[in-house]
Amino acid sequence: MPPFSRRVHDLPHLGVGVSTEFGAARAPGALDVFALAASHPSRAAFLELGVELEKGLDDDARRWIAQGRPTTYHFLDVNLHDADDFDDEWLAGVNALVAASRPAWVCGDAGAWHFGRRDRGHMLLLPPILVDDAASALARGVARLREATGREVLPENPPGAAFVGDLHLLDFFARVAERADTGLLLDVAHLAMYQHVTGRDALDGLDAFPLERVVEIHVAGGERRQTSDGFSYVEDSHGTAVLDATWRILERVVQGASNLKAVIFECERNPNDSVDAGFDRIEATLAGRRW
Amino acid sequence: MDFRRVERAALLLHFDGGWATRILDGDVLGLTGAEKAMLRAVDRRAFRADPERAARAAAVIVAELPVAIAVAGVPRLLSFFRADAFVDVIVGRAPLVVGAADFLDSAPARIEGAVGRARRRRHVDVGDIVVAPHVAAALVPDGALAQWTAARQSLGDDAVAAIGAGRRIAWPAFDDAEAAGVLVTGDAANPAVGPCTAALARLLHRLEDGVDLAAFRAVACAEGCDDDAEADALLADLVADGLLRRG
Repeated sequence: MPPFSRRVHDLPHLGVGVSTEFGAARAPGALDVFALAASHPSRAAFLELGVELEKGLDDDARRWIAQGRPTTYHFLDVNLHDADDFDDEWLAGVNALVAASRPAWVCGDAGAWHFGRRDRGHMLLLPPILVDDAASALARGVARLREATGREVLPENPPGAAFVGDLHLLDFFARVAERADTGLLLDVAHLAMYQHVTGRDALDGLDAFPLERVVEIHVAGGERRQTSDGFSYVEDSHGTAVLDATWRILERVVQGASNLKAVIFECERNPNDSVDAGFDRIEATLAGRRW
Repeated sequence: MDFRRVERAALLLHFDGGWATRILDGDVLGLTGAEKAMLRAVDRRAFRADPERAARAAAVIVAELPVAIAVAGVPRLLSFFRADAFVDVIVGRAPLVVGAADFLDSAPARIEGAVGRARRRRHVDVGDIVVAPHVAAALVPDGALAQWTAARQSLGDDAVAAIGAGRRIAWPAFDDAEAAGVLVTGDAANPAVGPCTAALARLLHRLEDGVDLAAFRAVACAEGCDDDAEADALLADLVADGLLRRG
């Protein structure tokens, strides 16, 4: 297999898009992706399908696919660092949906989507343990899923309030990228959460991070919260109010992400008339880039 | 440094702050000093940023074990997330619902736990002879199945809402805890719960993980078959009835 530095040139430039998951579009006040595609085609250039295999694709996702529009496949149900999670039944199901949706690539949060086995009530999303061995295990999972699906697999830095381990989150994902020889999905809102709860500046660690590995970026609103005993954290609300720290990270990353192919504004829970400001700023940040 | 062990510890801390003392000062999960130090380096309050995590998981359990929870009470259910049984679920990759049923260990929990096991059982090659998909059995006291059936009906269609509103069910005392069998059949969406002999329930229970023919004969003879020929005839009957599968 050619190295990532060559493979990445075969990946399509998708531009700016939005994300969805099962039933999201039918929730009250949710984004209408088809209306967005009609009114602002460049803001819905592709749809990221958040997929939990047990639920599959909803009617809106199927309609999008049937129209031949571009997609990416965002898994919501595999712990990439856990070899026991790659059972044959799950892999067969993923391959069937990949064949049906023809995504440009597969991506998803590289954390614990569930504890123990995949089952009702087991779902959660916790960040990985930030140690070297976990980076190696995660890299093996990325390579395994890439081989099984025949698609590039872009691990994403997950959200969280409690990050355990002796590595900086960005150092951890740099090691994953190198060992799996893969591209990355950098969620700049999730990174802002990490920097906040660990008391770091928003841009801490980015100078040493291999930005050329970043193929996709997620931008999303977040809300500062405090636990009843005073711990300050950021909730991954996916609202339209994007933190300043998130914008700062986006601007810095875009400068160096020479292989950037796609940016998602994760605003699926918000009505169409509330998302313009976010898209405006993303477009301004990306202005001048060749897609 | 075993990151999987640290991950399990972090998971427990996310569910209940009470684990901190047992994990960091005790020997739950057997963490090394370095692993404990790594967890201690994180502000403990960070693990409690989402205090509803256990409640959400509990809601799933209530939906599948409604009578058991209406009998035991929600506080008893929430204590599951502070119990070693929850660790067993995580480490053993067992279904949460089944683990909770085992933890509650009451007659309604055995019945509803059997439904949960049947719902999750799929065809896997685990031995020459194995319980068929969507089949499971439980042992309960005489009269418990009828009591459970009435209790389940009394909770109505939205049992979760009823229990959330504080509905409790009084469960009578029974004598022999394993006098009768309960058999779950049907499919995952529509399980059928009915009576069976205690011998059949014990037999099926011991075959859930799959056995070879010799082991089956031994179990069958322990449950009343006179010899291997009678055990083989029983096997043929149970396969024909769709309760067992042969590999």
